[in-house]
Amino acid sequence: MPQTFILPFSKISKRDVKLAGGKGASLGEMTQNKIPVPPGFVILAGAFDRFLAETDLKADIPTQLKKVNYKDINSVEKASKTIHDLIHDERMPKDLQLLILGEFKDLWSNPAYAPRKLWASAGKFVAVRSSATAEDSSTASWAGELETYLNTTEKNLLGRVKDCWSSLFTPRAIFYRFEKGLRNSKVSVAVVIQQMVDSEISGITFTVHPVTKNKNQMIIEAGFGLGEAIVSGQITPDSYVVDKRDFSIIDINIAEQKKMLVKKPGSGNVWKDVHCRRKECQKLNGQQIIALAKLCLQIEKHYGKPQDIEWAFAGGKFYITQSRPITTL
Amino acid sequence: MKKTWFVAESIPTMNYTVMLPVFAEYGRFIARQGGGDYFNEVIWIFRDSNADLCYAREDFETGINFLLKKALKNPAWPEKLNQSIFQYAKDYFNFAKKLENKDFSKSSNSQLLKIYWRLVMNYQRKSHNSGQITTWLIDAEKNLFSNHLLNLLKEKIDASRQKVNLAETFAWLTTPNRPGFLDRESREFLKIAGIFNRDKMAKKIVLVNEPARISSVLKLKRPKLEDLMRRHYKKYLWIYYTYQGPVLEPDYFYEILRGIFKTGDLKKFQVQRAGRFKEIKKQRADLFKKLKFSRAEIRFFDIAADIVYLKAFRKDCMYFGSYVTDKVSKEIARRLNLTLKQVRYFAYWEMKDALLKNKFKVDVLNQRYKFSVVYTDSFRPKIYTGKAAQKFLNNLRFEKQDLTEIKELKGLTAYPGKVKGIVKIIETADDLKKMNQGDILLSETTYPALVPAMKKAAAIVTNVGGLTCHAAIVARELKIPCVIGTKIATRVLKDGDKVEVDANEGWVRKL
Repeated sequence: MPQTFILPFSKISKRDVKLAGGKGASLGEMTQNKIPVPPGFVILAGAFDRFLAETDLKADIPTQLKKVNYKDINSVEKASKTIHDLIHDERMPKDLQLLILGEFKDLWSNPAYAPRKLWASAGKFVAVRSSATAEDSSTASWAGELETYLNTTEKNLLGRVKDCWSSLFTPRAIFYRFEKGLRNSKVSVAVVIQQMVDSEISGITFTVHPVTKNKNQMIIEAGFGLGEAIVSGQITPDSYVVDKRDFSIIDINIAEQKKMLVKKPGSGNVWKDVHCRRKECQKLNGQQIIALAKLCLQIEKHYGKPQDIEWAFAGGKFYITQSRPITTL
Repeated sequence: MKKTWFVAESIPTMNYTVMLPVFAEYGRFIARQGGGDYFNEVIWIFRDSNADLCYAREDFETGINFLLKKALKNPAWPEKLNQSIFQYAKDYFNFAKKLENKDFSKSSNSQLLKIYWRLVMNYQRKSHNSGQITTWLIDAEKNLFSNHLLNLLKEKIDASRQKVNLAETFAWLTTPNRPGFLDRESREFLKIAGIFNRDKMAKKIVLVNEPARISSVLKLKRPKLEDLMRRHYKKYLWIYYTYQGPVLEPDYFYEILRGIFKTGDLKKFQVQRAGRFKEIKKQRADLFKKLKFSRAEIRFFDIAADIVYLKAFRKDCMYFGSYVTDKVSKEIARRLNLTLKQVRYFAYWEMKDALLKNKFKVDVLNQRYKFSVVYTDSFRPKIYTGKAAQKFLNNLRFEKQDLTEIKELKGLTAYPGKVKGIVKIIETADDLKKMNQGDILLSETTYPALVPAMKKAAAIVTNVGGLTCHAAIVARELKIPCVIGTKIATRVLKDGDKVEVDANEGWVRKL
């Protein structure tokens, strides 16, 4: 049987962390459980291994790493830069290229990838994210260290995949592995390719209120535009507190929002003024808040643990773009 | 000529559910009760949960003078008004009492609408409105009625050539001689405290455990006493609710019990409580005799004492009513996917569409809370929000005052005494934690939720209120120097200022 390098979310479950990475496995698990996740696929870790094996990198990278003096931050940075360039310059095996680009096209044409009429967004955009396969990915919070590229088009897709692969060798990642004594262990990374949701509203849900730690309350944060603006703290979102027992809304705090992050025609993101009449509006109405709360509770129940969930709202529908356990409770 | 407006009262927790039904036909209600038609125009300014009540200066002055004159000429009129206040307040309380334990989740939307409407538009509105003339307007802002009686008392004292303290005498003569809710609560509580006191084990449990744990320990060792306390809590958890809650914490009464046992004050409180109304009656009778009051004069002081009583009684009924109304509103909120706060900003005429057709605008509710102006000229009120509200206010003229030069404030003595201390401005329950023992409490006005801070105060100073206001009543009971009706104390002074309060003369001086 030929080796599989690509799997759609619908064929991945939470047991596949080693193949698809933590992020990929979680998105697959949710897709299999009918949680509305934007369609996508994972370039499995094996693809990266194959890329290494078929090029000189298999020898070059360890050579570079051996040269590093871990007491000298410049030395770490230099190695990181060199490895990044090496990966960038090396050609990806032709069959892998075809596989990835083919699957990308399928996202919009193959009925297996949710044949419904998608949001009004023109053009084909995906988010490209690295998904670490290290055993301790959940505790060491790899997710924050690896890369995310939004609004990626077919043209720069392969470059972004390589960027994700290189993210295993950022100065922080190199240093981290050294500190944890993982220098010589095999590391690999999967890459998640997911349709972009051109979100009108987006945000984060903590299924247990992280401040009061009250298990009966979840808190939803919501803002206009793309969710990155909230995650990175560039805007102050609305916050809604919902009682999980009877789905009543306990508190609503509205934050005035002057600017929102939106997708730029072509690629990349751009800040746009919020329409003057919407600035002081409540981002989600009551029904939407409750619909989202029910969806988030379903995810929490599925995993049996409080979750930190990223969501987006587009075309009258909620999408879950990420869910991970809350580690700070 | 343009009218000049002024803020007669600033209420820290107010909302549309409580305010709109009452002020929709405010002027007409007052006119119907014989109060003339001077109070047709009223403006409310809402900012967050605070609300300012504004009248046009000239209309207001003419109106309250008319009310005073009429009441003095014909004491049967305020007496009759007072009777109806008592009746309406009781009706409101009793109706709410029937709904207190009802499970509203079983009611249909149209049933819920009916209940809401009866609570708010029938009972609350009547109860609230019936009290306007005697318990508010006749003594509002300018303390007309209080000052009149005070002058009368002064004349009597001068004529009698007796040496008696004016403020203290006034306090005795206007103190009600029948128990209100708070009196009943403390009487019943002291009884329970007495039972605990006789049971060594029970007393020890209260003294050695954290208040939050006492109940579970008692449940094992003294289940009957735990039951008594639980029932007391259930009966009175709303007493400091005001218009928006919250209810008392479950361990509130255990904390009080612990405090009483620790200070050993039980006996003292019991004695005070037992003889209280007898003593008031005796003092009043003695003073009236000593100062040679005529029957007609006594009648006015009886009216004043009634007003003092009704003010508290009516408010307590309203607080209980608000507590029950909030239960209905909470269920409405759950059904419409709104918060309780948002439901509190519906105008009553919108509730039908909201509940039966799911038709409402959530952003409008939010805006109203944040900043809105309600204007009524005795018909359905007009509501302005956001820019329109600002524009509406910009077109009005408001009274202005330069506050920076003021070093002394004059008010009215509610309870005599002279003390120095540090100012703490206490407007809402959130401010309670700033208050230290011996601080001077400043507030726009006081209400039951602020009592814990008032108990710590060396003196109490308020912006508004006459001798029949809440602050005055509490100060008299606690024997704390108190100056009321300074109008601007909370705007002139700030937290941390050192002041002298001379409640003998009614002065507050910045040191």
